[in-house]
Amino acid sequence: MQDTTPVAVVVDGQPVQLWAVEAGLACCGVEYAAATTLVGQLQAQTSIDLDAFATSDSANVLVVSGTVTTALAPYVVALYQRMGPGARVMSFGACAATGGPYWDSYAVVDGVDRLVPVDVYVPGCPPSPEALIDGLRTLLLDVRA
Amino acid sequence: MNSQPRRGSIALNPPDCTSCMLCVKECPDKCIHIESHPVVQETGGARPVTVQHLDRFAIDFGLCMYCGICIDVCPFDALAWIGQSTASAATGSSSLVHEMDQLAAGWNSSDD
Ligand code: SF4
Ligand code: SF4
Ligand code: SF4
Repeated sequence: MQDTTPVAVVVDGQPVQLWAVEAGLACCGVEYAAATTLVGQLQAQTSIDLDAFATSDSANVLVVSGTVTTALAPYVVALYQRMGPGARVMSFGACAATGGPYWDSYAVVDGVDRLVPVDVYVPGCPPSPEALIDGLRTLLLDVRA
Repeated sequence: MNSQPRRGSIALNPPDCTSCMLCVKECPDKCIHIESHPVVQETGGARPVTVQHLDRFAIDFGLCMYCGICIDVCPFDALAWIGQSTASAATGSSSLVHEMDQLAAGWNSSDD
């Protein structure tokens, strides 16, 4: 795991703290950061309040953005376990959902749900900011349910 | 409907699809699934013609790169971009596989 970017958002007034895990060399990590910026800019229209940064201790959602190689797989599992019970997982992008363009590769996990339970899958390669907003709403519904 | 790439989703107009399989062949991710069967049609002419009847058309949006190659390659403009993003899925990545009725609904509801 090369970078972990802590991001906290409040969706419809409910604090949902996202902890983005960006696998090295994966484009979705960069795209996720860009998408969260736009979510912040669209605050008024979306009622998604991107106001603070969460630490790994306080985050309650793990965002897996990028290609999960078999080499990185143990780290993803370790990060999930570190978040404790009740942690939610967002799969961001095609690679995290299914392996994406690398679904047939010997070195890529064809879906992060083979490692950890996933609560919401945001499609795209990479997903658009609008797709992230939709994913956050879906996740919030799930969290509230 | 719009032939220009944009960051929305992809819709299908089933009546325009001839099951020619070009999109399936060209999709870099192999995430389009088509099933069809031949139907013999009497034309009233000297001989009947055989056409393919489309039974299944699905796009796995869990895999799709939104590259638009399928849209570009379709000779019959049966595929098109729509502005609305593909909805997120909460019940497994397999629910990102959109079948023909869902893809057609996107086509019909698009206001492009
Ligand atoms: S889903 Fe596409 S954009 Fe995201 S990490 Fe994979 S290849 Fe890159
Ligand atoms: S947009 Fe690209 S990856 Fe998606 S179904 Fe079409 S050809 Fe395949
Ligand atoms: S290229 Fe167009 S007509 Fe041919 S199978 Fe695909 S959608 Fe149907």
